Amino acid sequence: MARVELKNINKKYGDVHVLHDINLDIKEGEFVVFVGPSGCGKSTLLRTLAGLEEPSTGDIYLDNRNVVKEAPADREVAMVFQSYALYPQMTVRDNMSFGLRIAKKNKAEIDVKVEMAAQMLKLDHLLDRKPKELSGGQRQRVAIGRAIVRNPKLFLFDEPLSNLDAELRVDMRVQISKLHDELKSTMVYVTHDQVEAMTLADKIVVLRDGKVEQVGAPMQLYHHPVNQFVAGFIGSPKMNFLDVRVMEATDKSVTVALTGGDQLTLDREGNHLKSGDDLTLGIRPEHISLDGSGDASLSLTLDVIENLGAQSYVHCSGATIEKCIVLAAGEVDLPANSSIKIGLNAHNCHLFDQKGLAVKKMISQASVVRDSKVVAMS
Amino acid sequence: MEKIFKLRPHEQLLVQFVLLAWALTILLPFGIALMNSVKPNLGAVLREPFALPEVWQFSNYARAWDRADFGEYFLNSMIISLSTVVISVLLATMVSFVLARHEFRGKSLIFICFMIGVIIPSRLALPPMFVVVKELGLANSLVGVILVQSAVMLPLAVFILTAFFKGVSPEIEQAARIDGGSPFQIYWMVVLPLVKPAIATVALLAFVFSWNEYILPLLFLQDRELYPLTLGMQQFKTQFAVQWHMMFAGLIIMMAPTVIAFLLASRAFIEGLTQGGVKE
Amino acid sequence: MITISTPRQRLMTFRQKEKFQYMMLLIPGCILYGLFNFLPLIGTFFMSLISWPGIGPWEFVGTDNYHELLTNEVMRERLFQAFWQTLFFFGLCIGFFLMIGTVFSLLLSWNTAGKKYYKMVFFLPYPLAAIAIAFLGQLIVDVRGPLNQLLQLVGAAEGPVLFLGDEDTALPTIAAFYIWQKLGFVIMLILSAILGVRSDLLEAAVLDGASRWQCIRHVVLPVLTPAFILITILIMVDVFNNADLVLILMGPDAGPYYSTDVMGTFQYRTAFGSSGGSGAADLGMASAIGIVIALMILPGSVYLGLKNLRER
Repeated sequence: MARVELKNINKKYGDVHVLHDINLDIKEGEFVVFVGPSGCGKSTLLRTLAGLEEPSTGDIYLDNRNVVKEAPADREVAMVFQSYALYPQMTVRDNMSFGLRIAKKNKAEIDVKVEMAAQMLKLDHLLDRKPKELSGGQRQRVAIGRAIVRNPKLFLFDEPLSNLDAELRVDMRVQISKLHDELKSTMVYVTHDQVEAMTLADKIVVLRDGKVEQVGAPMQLYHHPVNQFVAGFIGSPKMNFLDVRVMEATDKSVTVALTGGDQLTLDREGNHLKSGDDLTLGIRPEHISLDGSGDASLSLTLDVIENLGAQSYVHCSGATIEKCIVLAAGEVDLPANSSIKIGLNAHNCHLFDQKGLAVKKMISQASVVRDSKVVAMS
Repeated sequence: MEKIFKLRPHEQLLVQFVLLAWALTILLPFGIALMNSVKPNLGAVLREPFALPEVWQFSNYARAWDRADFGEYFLNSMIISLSTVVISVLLATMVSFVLARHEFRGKSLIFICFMIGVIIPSRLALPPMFVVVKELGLANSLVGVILVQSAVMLPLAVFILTAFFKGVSPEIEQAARIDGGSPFQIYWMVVLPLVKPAIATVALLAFVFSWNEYILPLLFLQDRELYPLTLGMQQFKTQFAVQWHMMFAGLIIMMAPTVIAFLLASRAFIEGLTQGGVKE
Repeated sequence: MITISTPRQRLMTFRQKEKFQYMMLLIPGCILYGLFNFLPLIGTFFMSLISWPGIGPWEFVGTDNYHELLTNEVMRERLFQAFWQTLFFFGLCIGFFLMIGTVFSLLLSWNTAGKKYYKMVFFLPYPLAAIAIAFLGQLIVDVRGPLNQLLQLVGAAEGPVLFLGDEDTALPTIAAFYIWQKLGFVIMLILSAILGVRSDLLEAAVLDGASRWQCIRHVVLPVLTPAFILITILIMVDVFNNADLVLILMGPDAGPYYSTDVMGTFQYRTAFGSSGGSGAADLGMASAIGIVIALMILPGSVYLGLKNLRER
């Protein structure tokens, strides 16, 4: 278990600035997920933490010890890779014990540790096989076993489930979650899949273009995204964005008009806004009603319905609205190209200015976000 | 598909005839060499070169090995070839491992220098090569020949191996770094076992090349005790040009390791040597 | 922030240690290659600017070697004779390789019985030493050798044919040895190009009603061009710098009467003297010849190098 602090981490490859001044604080035993689109720097950040790459500037503290100049092995971290990265020529046992053998630990001790890890991951019967004789899920378990054996202070996962098929992925996700409960180790996990992030994380770090967009608990990110990017990234299907115009703005509320004409009043600090400003209204698919009930309604044309049984995705569009997805419970049976009226409630809506930043909620509402450390980046 | 590749019986017959003719052209000289290498004397060779020997005198081989010094030559050839294989494979894998994976200043320059060695045949540089070996006091020694042959082999080996090392997943190497492996350990314990097929190809090329090399030993070796088989054959020819049956025996001794290895692993040979030949 | 230093203070940080180990892996190979291969390659150019018999003092002569090579009547004649004979040798071989090689490759691409064994047999001479090829060939074509006996037997020749002893037949005979050795290699290259023809292309051609000959002509042969270019350059580079067969069979003097003299023997003889030890060795002049040969084959070998690089 370890407490991790990243201080002003910058990474440049020549002229390319990959990481911009990253500051992070990871508590002991916390499960932190770095999430973001590909190329956002999340893997580089993880590799920097592992010691595989050196930051251009900045410091990394592991339990108050600055490890930025230390070898990966001396940092007492272990890493699980996307491609499993097992040594193909070695048996499962040799794969798992490689680090300990390098460290010249005694044989008996190595055996005990390997056996324990193997039991924990139900790998005992596979110990003498080579990686190529294992299935994808088994390989990833060996990779995790290799990490456990070293009893690291910090576990690092680099998209460990991306190479698995959908069903196994869910399975492994649960196993990793259990593993975290059992080991109570600090874990850092990188993924581009927001579902993995939401289900696994104690704390999510959303990255874009090498910058931290927001840090917070999954539900906090879901309910209070600080900007349009985070709002769009967290949640599936994606949040819908509609163009709206400010009709009236005060320091307590903002009234906006939808393209259809309906108006909606939200409890936001609107003192920097003025009538006529263009804003973006965000509303999640699951918060839209199909019967037009709510604080405002909008007429759209139905394009396609995807019935999944338990729920349905209703794809609609309008004259100025390119795409709007509604998530409805159960089956929906409506003819294509029919016109429908959707309804939204003001308290489910998000409002973003032209820079994409969320228009702040009223201070009185801050109780909802009391334990958050909303970091809004410019 | 089937239709294009399938031959009608009479076509098959014609094709077989053509191919068999060339196959015989290839095999006959070997057959003649084999047959005549066990004939008791020159007369038998000259009278009926195509006839099977009346007496199978296998002692020709023993005599060639013993009295015509082919045993000594064989040993020298083995020392030169095996040393060349070990040195060139070891050094080439080390260099390629670094060139393929490690970023450092001057890396491209080093790679280009090795590429120049692939592009320009070292045969053209024999005069300066001769001077270097002489100046280092390595003339007339097996060490000199071994070092030069290994060096000549290196560019091609580095070229083939870097491509292979680049194909090894970088994550495996990173995993080994996390496990505490130093570059030496990663090279020796993790990456080297992964490029075994390429190593086999390079080792094969190095062996065949150094076993067959004629000019380099000719330039650098003066003492007959140091001669490899290639020089020994030439030596024998100048001394005993008329001892044909012994010459044939010597030839068979010289070709035996390559031919036997070829018969045992013809596929690897054909693939490896073709690849090596194309890269050269 | 309290910073606790690592338990063991090391002489080097781990990054320095890694760097050091990488260098230790890199350096031995670079030294060996640099000393015995790269330095001589570069040195050839500088050596071509001096006059030096290999021992004793040397003299800087600038471009005199090149000048002499092209203007001195004896040298010039030798140079051009060697060049034309190399070209002749190359022409003989490449013509045979491309035509016969393609035919054999096509024959081997069908469901020919025993093609696996044919491939093996055809390739068999390729890994053998030049000296083995030379001696096998020499013994076969000897005046009293099997070939001459065969020719007499069937009455194709009146007296024994001299083959290697005759000015007119010596070089073609050596070319025949060369072809005998390398045809298998050429066949492998063409064959793999044929087998690389996308089968859907062939299928489409067959569905369009193409006959086998039409398939070969319009689908297979066009895609063999890259293989032909590759083979031509490979053989050219080899023939222009490697004269092992001639050296072994004919010695540095490339007899009879220089009729088998090629670029490689010309350079070797200039560098290390003729077999009798009479000719004066001149390492400077030999290096100049080396540079001339290098310039001749450079376009081809650079093409090969770039092609290889691109394929990586």
